[in-house]
Amino acid sequence: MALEKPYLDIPGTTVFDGDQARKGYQLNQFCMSLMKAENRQAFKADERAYLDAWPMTQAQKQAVLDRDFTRLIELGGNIYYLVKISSTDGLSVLAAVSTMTDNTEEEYARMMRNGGRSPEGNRYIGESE
Amino acid sequence: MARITAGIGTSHVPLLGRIIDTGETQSESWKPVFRGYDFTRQWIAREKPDVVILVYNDHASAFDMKLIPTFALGCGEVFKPADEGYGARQVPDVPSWPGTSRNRLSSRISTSPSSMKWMWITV
Repeated sequence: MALEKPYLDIPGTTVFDGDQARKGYQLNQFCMSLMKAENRQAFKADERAYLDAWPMTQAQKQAVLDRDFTRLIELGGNIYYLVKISSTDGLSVLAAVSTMTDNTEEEYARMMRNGGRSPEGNRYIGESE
Repeated sequence: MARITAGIGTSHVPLLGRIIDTGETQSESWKPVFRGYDFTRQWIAREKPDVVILVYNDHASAFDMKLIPTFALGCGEVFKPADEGYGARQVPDVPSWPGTSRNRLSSRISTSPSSMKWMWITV
């Protein structure tokens, strides 16, 4: 019997469940490796070579090279791990996550300081219809 | 007998640590957020808790995908700030409370045979 996943219809949201964790295991562990300064140095020196040492999928490696966080989440990345990449780039979490929206960093910060996105129409796909 | 004197909560916003580190707490954008903590600073300074039980999100620092417990109790001697990719934050190491009291906590979180003031902080 397949596992029921009622959360699949949350707009713009990928819930990090067991399946995502399995998909993204190597990707997330690669991210963890960036907590060590010497690894960050090696990664910055040659990103492709560093990634090729990990048994990640080509799509995951390309998404890292592209810094495509939306894609990385789709491919099993967990945000707490993914921000090790943006931290290595010297960016704040705010700067990293704002790239997943149509907002600039300042617009995103202002939106969050003003209370964030409204849940109206955002609870499930088709709610606003 | 220990006495729980308070429970404090705050929203989980790690960005605030960075704002402190980049010296922007008094900027127009961030001043209102940090003003919200003025009361808490004064209150803690006045109350002087003996022990703080800090409940927080590990943020993939101590734990990685090899092992993720739902809940874990830290019983170390000292708790150091993590390096999440741009070096550890320049904040003090947090010492644990000494000896047998810590062991008691491991076995029975709700009681302790000391006469200390406890404060719960959840972030």
